[in-house]
Amino acid sequence: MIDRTAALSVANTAIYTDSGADLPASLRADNVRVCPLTINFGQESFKDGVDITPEEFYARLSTTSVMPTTAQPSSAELADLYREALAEREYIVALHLSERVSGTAEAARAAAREMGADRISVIYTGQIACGLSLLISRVQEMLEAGTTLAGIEAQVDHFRANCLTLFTLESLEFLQRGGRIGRAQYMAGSLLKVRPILEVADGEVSSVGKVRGAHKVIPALAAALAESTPADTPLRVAIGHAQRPEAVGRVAQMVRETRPQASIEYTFELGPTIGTHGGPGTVGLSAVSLA
Amino acid sequence: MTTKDARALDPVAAALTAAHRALAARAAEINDLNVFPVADGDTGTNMLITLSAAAGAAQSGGVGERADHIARATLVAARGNSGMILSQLVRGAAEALAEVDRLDGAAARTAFRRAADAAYTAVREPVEGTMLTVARRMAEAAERTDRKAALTEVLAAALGGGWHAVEETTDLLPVLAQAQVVDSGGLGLAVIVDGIAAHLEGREIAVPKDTAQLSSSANDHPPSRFRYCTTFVLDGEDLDLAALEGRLVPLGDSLLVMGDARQAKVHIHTDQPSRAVGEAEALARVDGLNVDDMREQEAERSARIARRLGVVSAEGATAVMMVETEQLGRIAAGLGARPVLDIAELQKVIAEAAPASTVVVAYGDHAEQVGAIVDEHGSSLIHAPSLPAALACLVALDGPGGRDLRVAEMTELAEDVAAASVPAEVDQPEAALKDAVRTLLADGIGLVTVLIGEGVEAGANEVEDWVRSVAPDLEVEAHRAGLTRHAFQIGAE
Repeated sequence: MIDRTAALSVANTAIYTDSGADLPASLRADNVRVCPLTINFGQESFKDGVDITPEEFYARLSTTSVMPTTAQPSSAELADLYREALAEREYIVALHLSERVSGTAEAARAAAREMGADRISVIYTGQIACGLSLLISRVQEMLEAGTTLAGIEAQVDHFRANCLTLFTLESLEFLQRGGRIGRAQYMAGSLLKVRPILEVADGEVSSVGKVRGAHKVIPALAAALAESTPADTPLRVAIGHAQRPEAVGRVAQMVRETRPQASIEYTFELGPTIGTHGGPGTVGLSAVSLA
Repeated sequence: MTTKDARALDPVAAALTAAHRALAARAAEINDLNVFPVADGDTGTNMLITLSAAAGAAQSGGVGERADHIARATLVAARGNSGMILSQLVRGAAEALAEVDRLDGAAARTAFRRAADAAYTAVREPVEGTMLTVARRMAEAAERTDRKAALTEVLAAALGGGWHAVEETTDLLPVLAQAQVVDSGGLGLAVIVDGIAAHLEGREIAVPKDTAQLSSSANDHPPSRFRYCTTFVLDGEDLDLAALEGRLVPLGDSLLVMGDARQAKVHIHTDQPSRAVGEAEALARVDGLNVDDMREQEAERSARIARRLGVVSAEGATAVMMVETEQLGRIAAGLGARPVLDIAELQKVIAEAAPASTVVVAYGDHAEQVGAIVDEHGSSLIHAPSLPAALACLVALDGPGGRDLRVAEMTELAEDVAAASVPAEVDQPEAALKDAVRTLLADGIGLVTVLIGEGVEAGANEVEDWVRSVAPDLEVEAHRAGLTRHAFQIGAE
C-alpha cells in the first residue's frame, strides 16, 4: 500500500492494467503497462496481445469449432511483472478489469500482498474495456500533472458512479457461454433474433433493453446515452468494436448528435479478451463526465 | 461435517444450525421487509450469510478458543448492517456460554444479556426500533424469569419479549411506520431465537407468517443517501480502530467498525468505496472487499414487491398472447410472453394474473373476444394490427417504468410494423411472397420477418433467400410457424 499522500507522477509511478482494457496504442506510454490475459482454444494457449493479435484471434474464431475461453494471470505471473516495473519506478497503481467479471484484480491483490510492498496499490475499478481505458487515460493525466493515491482513488470512485458503458452484441451466445451474462440472462433463448442493449453496471453486465433489427440499435444506444449522461457538461467518450469498423462511424455520429458537447477520445478494436466474451459484432461505448 | 441431524452435534452447534435452518425458511420475506437504514432488500440474505458462518465455525472449531473462533468467523463473514450487529450478538452469547459449565436457564439469561450489551456497545449510534431493541427486550424478558427457570422456559420468555418488541418496532421508527412494516433485522432475530427454542423443545418453528405482510406502502421510503454498501476485513498486529473510524466517518454513514486489535470488520455506506478502502489500507491489510450498489438493490426490491402485490408501479409487465399454433407459442415465449392456445386457457391464465401488471396482446379474429375478457379482468389490452406486429411489440415488454409505459411503447412498436400475408391456397408461393414483400418496402424499413405456413415446402433459409432477392439491403428472418390459413405472414419494420 502506497502512502496516500506521497507525490505520484509519471516519473515515479507505473500504471498496470490488463488486456481487458483494450488500451489503444496512443495510451501506451512508457509507464503504462498491460498484463495479458490468456486465451485458450482447447489445448492451445495464447497471451492476448503478445502471441495473438485481434486479427489472428477473430480469424481463428471464424474457422474453429473450439470456442475460446479466457484465463486470468496467476498472482505469481503478476508479481513477476510488478517486480520488473518496480525496477524502473517507485510505485505501481494497478487498475485491472472489473473484479465482478474477472479474477485478475483479486490475483493482483494477492501478488501485491505477497510482495509485501508498500509500493503497489491495486484499486478495484468496476470497469471493462472502453470504461477501463478512459479511466486509465484520466489517471495518466493526473500523474502527468502530479497527484496522490488518494486523488486516484477518488477518481476511480467518480468513474464507478458516473462512467456509462453501453454495448450491443450480435448474439448472446458468447456472453452466455463465458458465464458473464449477469442480469441479462433472461434474454437468451429467443427464436427471433434479438439485439440486446447492455450496460456495465456495478462492474457487471446488465440489460438496458432489446431491439429487433440492426437499424434500431443506434437509436436505442442514443436513447440510453441521453438518459444516463448529463446534457450540459463535457463528456469524454471511447468507442470500441469487434470486427465492425464500419459501426464506429455510426456510433460516433450518434454520440455527436445526442451529446454535441462530447469529445470522442478513442476508437479502437476490442481484442481477444473482450472478444471471447462478446463475440464478433460487439460494439460499445463508454462516456464519462469529469465535472 | 454433515448438518443432517442437528441433534447429533454439540448443543451450541446444533442450536446455531437449527437457527440457520429457521432463518433460511424466512430469508426472502425478511429481504422484502427491509427499509431501514436503506431499503436495499438484503437483510435476510445478509443475516443468513452471517449466521451460516457462525454455524459452520461452531461445527468445526476445537474446544479451547471456541468462542473466539466462532466470533471471528462470524465477524469476517458478516454482511450488511444486520449481519454486523448479528455478529456481535453471536460474539456476546458465545463468550457468555464459554464461561459456564452447564447450558441451563441461568446460562441463557446471561447469554441474552451479554449478546445485547455486546451489540449496543459495538454500534456507534444505536437506533431504537431495530434488532438492537429486539435483542434488549429479549434480555430483559429473560431476566424476568424465575431464577430456577429451565433453559426452555428462559428461551420462551425471551422469545415472547422479542416477539412483542418486533411488533413495536413499527411505532418506534418513523420509516417503518411510513412503510407499514416491522423491522426486518428484528424479525430475523426473532426467527433465529424461535429456531433455537423450537429445536430445544422439539416443536415446529412458530413465529407467525403474517408479521412479514407487506402493503403497497412497503415501497414508501426515502432513497439511500449513499450509493455503495461497502464491507471489508482488516488484518493487522495493532489495529487502532478509533483512528480507523476517524478516517472513515467523513466518507459516509451507517459506519460500523467491529473487532479487535488483530482483526476488524468495516461496514460503511459511501459514495467512495475505493477511498474508504484506501483509508483503511493506510493502516492495515484489507481483504474480502464487497461493494454492493444499493440503488440497484433498492430498485430490485421495489420491483419484486410491486410484482408480488400487483401494484402498477412495477418494473416491466407480464404479457399473455393467444396464438394459433405451438410454433408461434415458442416464438412468443422466447420474447418473454406467456403463450396460450385458446380462449379457455386464456381465461384460466388471466384469472391467476395480477391485473395491474398484466398486458394481453391480441390480433386477428379473436381480438374482440379477447378484448372482452381483458376488460372484465382489468388488465391492459394491446390490439395489434397483425400477427407480425403482435410478435414485434413483445420486444418492449421488459424495460423501465410500470405497465402503462410498457403498454405505450409496445403499442407504438406494434403500429410501426407494416404487414402483409399470402393465403394458404396460393399456387406459386415464391412469386406471391416476393410480390407481398415489394408492397411493404418503404423508407426506414430495416427488417423483414416472415412466418411460414404449414403448407409451404421450402425451408426457412430458402424463404430468406427469396426475400433477399427483392430486398437485398434488408435484414431478413424467416421461421416456420405452422400457420394453417396462410402460406406467409410478413412483417416489415
